[in-house]
Formats: sequence, structure tokens, C-alpha cells
Amino acid sequence: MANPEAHVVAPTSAAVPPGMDRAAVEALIAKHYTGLRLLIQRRVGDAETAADILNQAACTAWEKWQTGQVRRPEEIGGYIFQVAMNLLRNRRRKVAERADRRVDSEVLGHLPADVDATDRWADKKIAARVKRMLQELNSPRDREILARFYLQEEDKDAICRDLALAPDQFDKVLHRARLRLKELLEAYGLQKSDFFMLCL
Amino acid sequence: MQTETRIQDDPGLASRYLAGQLSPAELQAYEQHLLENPDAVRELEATARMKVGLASLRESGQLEKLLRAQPALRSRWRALAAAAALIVLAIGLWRGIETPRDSTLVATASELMDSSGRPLTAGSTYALLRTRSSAYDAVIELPPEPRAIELRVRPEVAAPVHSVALSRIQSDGSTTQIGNISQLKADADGFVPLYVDSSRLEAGPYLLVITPVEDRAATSTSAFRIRVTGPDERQP
Repeated sequence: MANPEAHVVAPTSAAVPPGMDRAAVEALIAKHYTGLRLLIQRRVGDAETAADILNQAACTAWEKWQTGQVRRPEEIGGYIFQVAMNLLRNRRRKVAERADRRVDSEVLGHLPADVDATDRWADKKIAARVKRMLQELNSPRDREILARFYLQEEDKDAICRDLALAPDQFDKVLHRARLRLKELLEAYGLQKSDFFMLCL
Repeated sequence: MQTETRIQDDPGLASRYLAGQLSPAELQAYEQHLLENPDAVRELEATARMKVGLASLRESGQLEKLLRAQPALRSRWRALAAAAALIVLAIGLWRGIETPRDSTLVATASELMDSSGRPLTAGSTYALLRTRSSAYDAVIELPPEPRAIELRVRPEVAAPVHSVALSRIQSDGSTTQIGNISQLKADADGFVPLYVDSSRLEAGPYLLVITPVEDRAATSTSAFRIRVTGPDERQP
């Protein structure tokens, strides 16, 4: 691996070079959509199924690129997310329909046991940056908002009611936290030129 | 257009999308927005990382502590600054004289020498003034070769003469002073210039405390957080 940090940096550009092949789309996901990949692994709880979902996303995105449905190369990231999230939704629906396999979000939030070392490493790096972002937040209330909204996936209105917050205040907390996390993720990020070299 | 504006203004949409909480109409609008806006995809990826990072912290048992943490980082920095200022004061009072000057911090660049006794080449200049929006007030990039780095410090309390102490913050939160200097005069613009030998620094967090010489009350002391980065951390 030329640059292991590539697995945890925020994407600097979603653009892909012309004439890219399927492997380049897979590389795009591996290098620049680490968050999506790890999230899917957590949600499905099975590394093989997660890999299938991401392969399908890469395949569909590549087909759309080949058939000219992607007007601009930077649009390909949108297709990757769209396909992956569609497959994930379908899978969750099937799981939910089977009473014997019904699981709550708490269980789905756990890493599968057979996740590989690289993903564990990426997971730890991301966690370190989220931890630092949380440490920099002065207000315990702001930290609670982030945990309840992003992790426990509670409804915004319910959180605002509980904490006597105006919707604008809530949005500001989210905005500041995401901005700071983005800065931290990009602190070790690849430049655009590095990204193109990886795809060539 | 109205839907597009609403999508752009809703910072929670990405999280709700990843949680599968959007209505069919919202889903359709948001996915269309994703296809047309690469920035929104980056936002979505950052949100995915936020979720993954929080879940990972929960698994490792760190999240509970982080949510309960009191005081927060800025308050801890204030406490550190106050502690460092007290140490400077205590040393000064104990010795009954001005804190002696060492060769790490100096008032003019020409006072810094390399190993062969020649003046150090001038390096970059960094302004230190109170910032509210980031963890550090300045980030200093270490040059590959020793250089005289200029620090221009803007104290929160104006005074004609100041003393400065620079301390390394250890991983356990304790501080180790690496240099100090007194009798530094402020420029007309309020900034206090001084120089540091880059070879005395290593990558990591530092605390710079500046105190007016004639008013050493803790409330007159300003503390600045500095992060020193090594060449390997620099952006390509």
C-alpha cells in the first residue's frame, strides 16, 4: 500500500480520469469512500455481503460511465452512493420481513468479526479524528446532540424538544462539527494530483 | 428550486439518508441532488465517517467518557495556561530576579547561532493571536534545516514589555518548559516579536505564555496553543 492514509482521508475530488476501467471505480471506492464502505460493513454485519454491495455499486457506476449516462466524471460518486444505499435498503427490508432475523440499529452498528486489518486500521483512524473533534467541543450538550443524531439516529425534532433547542441552534451544532471533522480528515489528505496517479 | 434550496440548507439530510429515514419524495430529491452536486457526495462521505467514528468510539468504550468529559478542551487549555503562568511566576519570585534567558527564545534573529557559530538563516514568520475557531492558534512547520523562526505574538493585554515562556505539552497533559525570555518590547502594532531556534523544537503541541513584566497577575497572562508539525506531516 503506497499510502495507507489514503483510506481515511476525505475525498479531495470525485473526478475520475477519462477511459477509466472497472478496477479504477473499485479503487475510487476503496480510496475515497472509506466511510461508505465501513458503514455498509457495520450495517450488514457481514464482510462478504458488504463486499457484494460495493462491487455492485462499482459495477453499476462503471456501466453508467461506459454508456454515457454519467454526464460529468465527477458525478460518478453520486451513483456509487445511490446504488450502494439502494442495495442496503433492500437488504434491510428483507431482514426486517424475517421476524427471526430482526435486529435493531444497536446490533447493526457493530463491526463484523471478519473485517480485514486494513479496514480496522481505517476505522481506528477515523475514530481518532472524530474523538478529537468531540474533545474540541466545549459544550457537553453539543456532544450529546451529535451522538444522538448521528449514532443513535434520533429524530431532530425530538432532540430539540428534549434539549430545549431551536432548530437553527441544532443545525449550527451539526454544521460546526462537520466542518471541524472535515478539516481534521483533510489534514492528512491526498492532493488532487495524487488521486489521479492512483487511478492511472 | 425550492426543494434544492431546502436540501442545501438541511445539514441533517445526509445523516437521515444514510439512516434510511427519508420519505420517498425526499429520497428522490436528495439522490438527484447527489448526482448533480459532487460537493454533496463529499458531505455524505464525511457524514458516513462521522457515523462510523462514533460507532467505533462507542465500541471501544471511549464515547461515554467523551460525552461526559468536563471540562472541555478549551477549559483544559486555560487551566494549563494558568498553571504554566504560575510556574513562570513562581520561578521568578523564587529567584528574586528576572527569569534568566536561554538560547531557545531570543529577541533578535542574529542571536541564534548554528553548530559552527554562524547566525542561523531566517525561516518563516508565524503570527500568534487568539483564535476561536480552531484547536491551535498557530501551526508551525519544521524546516528541514535549522532556521530562526519568527513568532509575532499578540498579547491579549497590551503592555510595553513582556516575558515569554514556551513549553512542550506532554502526552499526559503536563508541560515541560523549553525556553523563556524577558524584556521583550512590543511593536507599535501591539505584536511582540521573538525568535525560536527550529532545531530546539520537535513535532507536537506547545504552549506559549506571554506575561506583561509589570503586571504579572494571572489575568494579564495570555496563552497560545501551537502545534509543531514535522516535515513528514506536511501537505504535499
